[in-house]
Amino acid sequence: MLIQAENLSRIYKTPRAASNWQERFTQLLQPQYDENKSVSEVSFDIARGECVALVGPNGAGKSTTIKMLTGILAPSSGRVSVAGFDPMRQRQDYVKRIGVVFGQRSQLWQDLPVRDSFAILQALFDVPDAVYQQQLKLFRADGGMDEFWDRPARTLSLGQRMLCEIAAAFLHAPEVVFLDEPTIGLDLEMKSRMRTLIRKLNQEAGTTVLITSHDVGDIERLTRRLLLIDHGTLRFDGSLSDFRAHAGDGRWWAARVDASQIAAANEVLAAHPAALAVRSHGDWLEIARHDDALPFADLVKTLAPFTVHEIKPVEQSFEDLLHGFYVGKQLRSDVVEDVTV
Amino acid sequence: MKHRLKACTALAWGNARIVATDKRGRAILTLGYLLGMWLLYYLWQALYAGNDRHAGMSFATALLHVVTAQTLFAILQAFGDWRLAREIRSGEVATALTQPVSLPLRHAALSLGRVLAQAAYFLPAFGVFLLWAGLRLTPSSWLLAIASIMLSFVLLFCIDFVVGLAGFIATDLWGITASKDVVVQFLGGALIPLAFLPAGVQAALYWLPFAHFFNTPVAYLTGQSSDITPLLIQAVWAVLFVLAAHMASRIIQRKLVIFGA
Amino acid sequence: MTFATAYLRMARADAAAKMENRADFGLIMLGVIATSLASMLTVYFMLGASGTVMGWSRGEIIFMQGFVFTIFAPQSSCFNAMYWVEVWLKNGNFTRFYTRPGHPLLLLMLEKFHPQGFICLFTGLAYCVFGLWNTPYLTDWLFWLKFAIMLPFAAIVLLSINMMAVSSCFWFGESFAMQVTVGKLTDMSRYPLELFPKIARYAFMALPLAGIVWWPSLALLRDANVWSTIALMGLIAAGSLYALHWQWKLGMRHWAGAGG
Repeated sequence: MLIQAENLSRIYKTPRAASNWQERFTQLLQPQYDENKSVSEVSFDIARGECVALVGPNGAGKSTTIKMLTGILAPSSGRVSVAGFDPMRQRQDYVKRIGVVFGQRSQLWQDLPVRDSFAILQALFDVPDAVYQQQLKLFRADGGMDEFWDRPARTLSLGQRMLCEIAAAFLHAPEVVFLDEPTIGLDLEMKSRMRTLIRKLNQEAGTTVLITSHDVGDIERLTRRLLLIDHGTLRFDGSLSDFRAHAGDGRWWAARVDASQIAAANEVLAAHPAALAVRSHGDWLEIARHDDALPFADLVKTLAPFTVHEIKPVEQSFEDLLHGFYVGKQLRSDVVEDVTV
Repeated sequence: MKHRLKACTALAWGNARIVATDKRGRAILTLGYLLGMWLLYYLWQALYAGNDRHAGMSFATALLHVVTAQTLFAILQAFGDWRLAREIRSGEVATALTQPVSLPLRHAALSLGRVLAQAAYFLPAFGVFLLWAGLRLTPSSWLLAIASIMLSFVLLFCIDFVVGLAGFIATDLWGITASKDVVVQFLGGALIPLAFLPAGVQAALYWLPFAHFFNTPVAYLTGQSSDITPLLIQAVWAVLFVLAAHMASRIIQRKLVIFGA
Repeated sequence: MTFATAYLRMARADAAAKMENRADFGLIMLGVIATSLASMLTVYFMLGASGTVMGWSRGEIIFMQGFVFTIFAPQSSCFNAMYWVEVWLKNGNFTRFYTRPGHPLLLLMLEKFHPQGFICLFTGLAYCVFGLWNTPYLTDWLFWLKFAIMLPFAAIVLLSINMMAVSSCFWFGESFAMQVTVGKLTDMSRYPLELFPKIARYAFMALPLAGIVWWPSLALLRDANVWSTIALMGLIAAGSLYALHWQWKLGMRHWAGAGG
């Protein structure tokens, strides 16, 4: 295994505020801290060549996990090993093997032309000329980096800058690349260009990629495997299709009912003995799909009195599934009754 | 008018609170100030060890002049040049121009807030130092002294505002602001009393605005002077400086129109 | 290819970029010249033509001021980025100090290079020469040899002290107050420390602000033993660097601990 995390935990200590002079005095001698577990007992393995998404709501512990994997933050307990290195202890040798992009942070020299920033990084990371040229070729041709190759970094647009950041992370042909929110704030075209590049580097060069993102498109298009963190604990580790199964299949029937009859149809469906969730979306009336409790034939029969123009099955989007997971309402067909829409 | 006064009070008060809430910074600054004054005492004492008069001043007079001037500088230094230059560079100045208070007035209010907050923690320390050193401020008229300090604030603020225009041409602001700070201190009589300079230079600085940054208010505060003429010269310069700040403000607006911020 | 290559590439590119922006460059020059001139003239007029302070002449004190400007040059050229650390800690760009190979202090050097240090160096040397005008030292090559040996050590001590003040932002968030306070102390350490009461003198020695200019001056202009002073300065320089190394090590741990 290339990346191994075992029972990884990180506790943040914040000094406790004193409310009176006596406390202030005792704290001077014996400081009191509030402990806050940001990541707790997280374990996972990632094999060489995988592209894995680390997802979770804001403040779930994603960035803390990435920081522990990249040697920025020491774990409070547990063990990390990446390519046989201890990221914190062997930092200087370790960082030559990895590439890191933090979405809103910069690797570049703001006042220098992009070309010079890369020349400096080449020397710093000790990248042989052949590798350097080869790694850059992809970004200069496919990514369009040539357009702003001679401009100072501070004059670049966000998209151009992110392209440079990602190119810089891949410059020394690292074994693993950690991407923390690499597409944040980018427009659709730039996002897709970025995803194509990352996929290419993952699939063709075999670089292992660990990516965090709030953009479901990044996850669906780039990765097969998902690590889901919430409140500092690992809630799910598996393939995207497993996640769908785990989070409930979330399938619905949608019927387009004549506008004047929607309310009445809604009432009838809601009164059905199967007691399935019902919701409306404009002209469409949706009911949770449960093939035992409400077979298709029954559904048609129930809707018979109304003017139905169309009936189709709908799959819940991945985004909805994730959202459902975050808010703690896993839309499994057997618990779907709990959902009030 | 009433609205403007209210807005300026709010800006000044807000900035004063920002400065005053950094308790640790305030403590370190006050301590550093006292330490600096304490060392300054011995420096001047050593200077007077051989003979008891230099440039017509006794040890007590010279020391009182230097520490008062340094205190005034510490209090009146409001970093308005940095503030304006940064706003220009970041484009924030365009937002500021949409507010219903003129740009120089807004910055003057912010600077005033900072100055008042700095006064609140440097003045007590100054008092402590004077007690320790056995010195006393004996102005012949507090009215003249306070009027002169207020005019100093106006002069220094206007310089800050004009220097802040450097934000249009320079990315690195240290050079211009550091130059301004030392020129104001040295030619203003905050590093050494102007009496130590050659007579011709002194006369020139007296008619130019320089002597009125610190030398004039300090002379009133320490009782070296009770003549109203320096105050009048200071006032004339203050009027001219305010006009200069207005011109600077016009330049900013014109440039913003041209460059589109 | 190593750090040295990377540094040369950065220095060349950054110097070129800086020279291109004429206004910036001109204003920085103005700053260096104005600040040094003001402190020199202060001493010049404070002491008057015949003035001495505790046996130190005006020329000698001007030499001491010049010495400080000279040893400030490396910091001014190579470590100017130190004033950005606070900003980078706040906006998170500091993470690159963890994800690049090399000692963080070397990485800090790699951030910026400013040719203003040369102006600082020349101004400083000019004041040293001016201070010693009409003294036998001026033509004594052995004096200048000792001077040249002491410069780097003194420069390291000054750099470490300033860096430690700035790096207090790892813990405090802001380092402005610390910089102002330490700046006051370094300003005062340019004068003969004999002026100050015993407790201040010991504090200057312990900090070790006395290593910036006081001990070198005693050896160069008075009868303190030169070679033992040089040895002592070497020790102090090594000690300050080591302390700085540890401050950064702890600081980098602490910052990440605060969440970044």
